[in-house]
Amino acid sequence: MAEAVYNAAGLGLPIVMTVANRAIGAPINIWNDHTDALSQRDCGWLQLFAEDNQEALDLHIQAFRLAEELSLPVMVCMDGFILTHAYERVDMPTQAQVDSYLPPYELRQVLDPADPVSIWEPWSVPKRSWKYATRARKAAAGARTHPRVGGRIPARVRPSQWRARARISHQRRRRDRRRPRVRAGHDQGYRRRDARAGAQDRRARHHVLPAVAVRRGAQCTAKGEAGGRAEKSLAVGMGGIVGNNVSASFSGSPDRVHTVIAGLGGRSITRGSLHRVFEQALTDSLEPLTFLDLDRALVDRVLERERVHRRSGPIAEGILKDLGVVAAKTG
Amino acid sequence: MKKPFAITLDPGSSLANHTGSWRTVRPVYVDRLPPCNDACPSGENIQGWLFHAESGDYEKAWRLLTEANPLPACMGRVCYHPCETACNRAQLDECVGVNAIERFIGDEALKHGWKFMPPAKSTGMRVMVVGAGPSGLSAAYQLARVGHTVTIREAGPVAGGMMRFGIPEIPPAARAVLDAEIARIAALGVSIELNSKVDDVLAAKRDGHFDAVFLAVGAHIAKRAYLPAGSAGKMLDAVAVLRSMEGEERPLLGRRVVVYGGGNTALDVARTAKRLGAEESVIVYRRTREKMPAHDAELEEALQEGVLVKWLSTIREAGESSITVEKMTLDEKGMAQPTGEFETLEADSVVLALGQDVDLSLLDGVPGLELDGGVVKVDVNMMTGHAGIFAGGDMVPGERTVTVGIGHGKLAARNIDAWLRGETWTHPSRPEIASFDKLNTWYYSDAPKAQRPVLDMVRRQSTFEEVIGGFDPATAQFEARRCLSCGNCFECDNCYGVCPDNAVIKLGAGNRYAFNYDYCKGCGLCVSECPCGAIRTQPEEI
Amino acid sequence: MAATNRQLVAANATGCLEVFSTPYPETSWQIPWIHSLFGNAAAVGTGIAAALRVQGKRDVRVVAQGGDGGTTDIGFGCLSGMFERNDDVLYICYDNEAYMNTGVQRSSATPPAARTNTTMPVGESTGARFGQGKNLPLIAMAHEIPYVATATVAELRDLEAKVRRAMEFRGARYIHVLVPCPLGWGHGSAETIKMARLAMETALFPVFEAEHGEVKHVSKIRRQLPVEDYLRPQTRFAHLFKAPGHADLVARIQALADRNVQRFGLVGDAEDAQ
Ligand SMILES: Cc1cc2nc3c(=O)[nH]c(=O)nc-3n(C[C@H](O)[C@H](O)[C@H](O)COP(=O)(O)OP(=O)(O)OC[C@H]3O[C@@H](n4cnc5c(N)ncnc54)[C@H](O)[C@@H]3O)c2cc1C
Ligand SMILES: Cc1ncc(C[n+]2csc(CCOP(=O)(O)OP(=O)(O)O)c2C)c(N)n1
Ligand code: SF4
Ligand code: SF4
Ligand code: SF4
Ligand SMILES: [Mg+2]
Repeated sequence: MAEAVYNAAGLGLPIVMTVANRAIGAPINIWNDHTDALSQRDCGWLQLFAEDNQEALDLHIQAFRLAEELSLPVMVCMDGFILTHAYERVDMPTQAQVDSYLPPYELRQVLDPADPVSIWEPWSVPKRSWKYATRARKAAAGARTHPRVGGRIPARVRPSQWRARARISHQRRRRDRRRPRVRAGHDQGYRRRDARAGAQDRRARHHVLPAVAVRRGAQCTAKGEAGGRAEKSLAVGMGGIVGNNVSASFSGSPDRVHTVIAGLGGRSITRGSLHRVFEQALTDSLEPLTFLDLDRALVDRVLERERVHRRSGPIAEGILKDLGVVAAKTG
Repeated sequence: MKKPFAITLDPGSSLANHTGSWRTVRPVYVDRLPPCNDACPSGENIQGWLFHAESGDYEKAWRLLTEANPLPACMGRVCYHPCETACNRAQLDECVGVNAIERFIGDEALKHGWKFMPPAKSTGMRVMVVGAGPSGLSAAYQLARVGHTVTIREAGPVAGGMMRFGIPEIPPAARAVLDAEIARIAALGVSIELNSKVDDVLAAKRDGHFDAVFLAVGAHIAKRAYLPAGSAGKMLDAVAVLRSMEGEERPLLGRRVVVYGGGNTALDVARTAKRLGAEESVIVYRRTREKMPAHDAELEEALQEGVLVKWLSTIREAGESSITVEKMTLDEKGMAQPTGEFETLEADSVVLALGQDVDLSLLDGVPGLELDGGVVKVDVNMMTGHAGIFAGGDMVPGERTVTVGIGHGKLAARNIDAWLRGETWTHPSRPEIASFDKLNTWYYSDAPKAQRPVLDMVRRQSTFEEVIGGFDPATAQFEARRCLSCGNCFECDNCYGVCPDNAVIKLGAGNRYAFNYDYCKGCGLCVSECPCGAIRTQPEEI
Repeated sequence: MAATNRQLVAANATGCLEVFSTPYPETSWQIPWIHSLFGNAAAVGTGIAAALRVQGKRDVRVVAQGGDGGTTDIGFGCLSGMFERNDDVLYICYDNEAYMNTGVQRSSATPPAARTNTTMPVGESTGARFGQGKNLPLIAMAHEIPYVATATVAELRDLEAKVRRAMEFRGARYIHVLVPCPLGWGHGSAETIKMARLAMETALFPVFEAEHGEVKHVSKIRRQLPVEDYLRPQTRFAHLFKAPGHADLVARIQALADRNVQRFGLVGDAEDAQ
């Protein structure tokens, strides 16, 4: 599958794909996080993350416009456990509304017997130049669509007419801009009014979170203030995927950036936990990389035991053993 | 459409990649010599005319055939068809019935009255042909076609030579065919003077103001064996018997006929005797069946008709109504040796079929002329030792058959024509033979040989109708289609289809193909897959 | 192409066909053609068919093609899906019995005992194993799709006729073409067609047509040849004949051929089987 994802981007196909995000792990995980989609962040697609079902609908329409204008495929990612399994009342645009927003698409590569062409991956086009071109396109995507940046397309792009409710809440969330907070999609447990610090919503829109966009978004905060981000994905050994990108875009700036990894494997993100994190951030006691609600002691014990006595088998088994729970016998 | 760079390409742009540069050998189209053509003593382009016959264009087939042989209707009856013996198809199932198709085409021509093209203009040269047998007729035809004025002097009352007198394959019933084919040659302006025996060739040449002469008097003097004839028993010679069949009076041979000899003539007489009503027709031959010079097919037909053969026997004495034969045995060299055992056979008449000698009297005193064991010596150009006198057919060394005679006539005509212009004709170089191993026979479907209808046995023994009938058009065409077209492209499209590089260019129906060496990479597939071996690989000069 | 009056779009899997036909920046394709991946030609074909349907272009037909690896192995899931949905695509598999483009590795279409770079005859092991691999034409028939046919490059007119016939159907169609590979099989390039012919004539590769899961027509063998005639000229089977030889394996391969004769009625006069 993954190969086809790259291929679609390489061919510049204006595909819109809905991705119901699930955790991926062993032996099986049916819960929700973002590691699946974000593992594909280098594939050359734009990735949009929906917070709720209304937004999922909106983003699809936007995604088509983006895909067709930029000739890049777009993933609309939505939570694969809660949103996909929940009924929610949504505002539906009319066909006329959609049509006015989505102009007729003029195809550039057509398999037409009247005008035959061969389409395939260019073997000897220097990979670098090709990748570079894709990167540039994505940067353009960021520049054109980020709410605070570029400004040109977003105004036209946002299908606001049919979205009374969701839009209002958006506005409200932006009231306190002092401490930007970058997040993607739906965070269970997060409520706008609970965010005491008044975190600002920056939905991670497109991969790679275009450096320029994130940077400029961050610039609306006073220099030197703390920024934080919570994410539901992890690049093993590297920390948060979103976080790394945000950090990279902040390199050279005096801003302090914190990453909180939460909700991995579908674990609940509770209000209490978030409160604790925000408190820590405000008092500057938050570590640069924090795993929300991690039983640190437990993990340390397991790691220590493995240091002493190497043994094969899944990590989970060692942890369960420590907890005294034996789920399965692996010998 | 404005196409995105790099990943979308215009069709066929790979033509810029000249795969031809990979080649170390190149295929070339060739015309190899089909074995049938090679074997045909008249030098017919059999494969060529079969190709036209196959498509049903019989006139075209006839025109090509008659380039070499003006008597296809006769040949289709009398020829021993060495082409069929050589035919590649024989190695697959059965040979192509070339001879039968030839007869069909010959008959078709007579039926529709197709005529030869008269020469564009006369050369003013005069050539005398002595003898209106097949060889003489062939030479006259070829000479007339190139514009020479030809006169045939024929001793007998009718033209046709031994074809008319001797060969039972052209029985009275089929003589009209011979007449018509001769008339068609005469229509080219050849004058045939009958009953005008040439006694002195040099005188005749001088008196007639001829520039060159072609001799084709055949071999008509029956060879005799020394037989102590005890009485005036009936002793006849084969050619005389057969010749007398032409007349009104049928020869009287009696109930029991013994024929002495082992050639085709012996068989012909024995079969004729059967038809004339003989109860017994026995051939006495010195050696065994394997050694018999007669063609096996002829023997088979004779045996079917009830002719008996006494192998390993010679006649020692001929009596009033019986003969004495001595048993023979073969020595290590295969020669017949007497055993001293004798046997008596009832016989009302004995027909000697021991071969014929040439009557050379007309050549007496011709300077330079050389003989070779009773026949006239000729060089490769068919010229005798006397300049301007050429010879062919039965009177020169070689096989004595109609088709050989026709071939000689053709060859002599080419040489006479050149000689008259002060040149020497050279045989064009022969292409390589399209032998069986050059073919890819998988492409030909199994198709057994079509049989000509054969007259019922009872009717064969009692009548002088043609034993073997002709093809109807459908059968002729079927049979022609069995031809493998050895060595000559028949536009099957195989090479065009199999070439992985599309390097074979079709030049349109009838124009065959060409290779596009820019793209041919010399893989050799076309060579292997050409059914008929019309493509050869040749090393590339690198 | 002629069968569709050039109204044709092709999707191609990675493999020799794709590599030799489109050496960048050139292409030999005269029709609209797309290469996406090694394993997704069937899916791309499906997509094109869907797009054409949406555009109402019923006259434009879709063909998807792949090598045996792209078809029987990595592309199998996509292909089975295409069959199962009865998508209006003709899929053509060019079977050279191994992954040739990448240097002769075994595929699930590699015949038993054949040497490939991943099934080297070493010691006890004697090339590809018996009893493994897939018979894709039969698997395709099991999907009961409208049309399944096999063909070889030895009978191009037959192949042409089958493509024509396939185009008379709507829905999923499959043609499996045996294409000998001089390099991978180890025979002279001029013998390519001969090898295909021998595969047929030995009954190792039955040539037939099936409609809706039923065999409708079988190309009869003119003279069944012993499998040895086919195996010997190929170096990929050379180990079977080198001392001490593997007469037992040759016999097993012969048994496979004989089974095909039985199963498809390859020998006999009647033109039509069943
Ligand atoms: C019984 C018999 C059966 C045969 N069957 C066959 C057969 O089935 N198939 C086959 O291919 N071959 C057959 N042959 C052989 C064949 O007939 C001869 O090889 C062939 O006819 C030779 O042709 P020619 O032109 O050289 O001579 P001929 O056919 O003998 O013709 C010579 C002509 O010259 C004339 N002539 C002779 N002397 C003179 C002269 N001084 N002046 C003017 N004219 C003269 C003769 O009257 C005769 O018409 C047979 C021969 C015999 C005897
Ligand atoms: C997912 C993937 N794996 C491997 C390859 C490398 N690859 C390219 S062509 C090929 C073999 C193709 O074999 P086959 O489909 O039999 O076609 P052939 O080259 O023999 O015609 C392989 C393994 C690839 N392109 N994609
Ligand atoms: S198959 Fe045809 S071309 Fe070949 S030898 Fe026989 S008659 Fe001549
Ligand atoms: S098949 Fe084509 S490439 Fe091969 S030798 Fe013949 S013309 Fe050349
Ligand atoms: S393959 Fe067919 S078309 Fe080509 S040269 Fe041979 S006979 Fe002619
Ligand atoms: Mg392959």
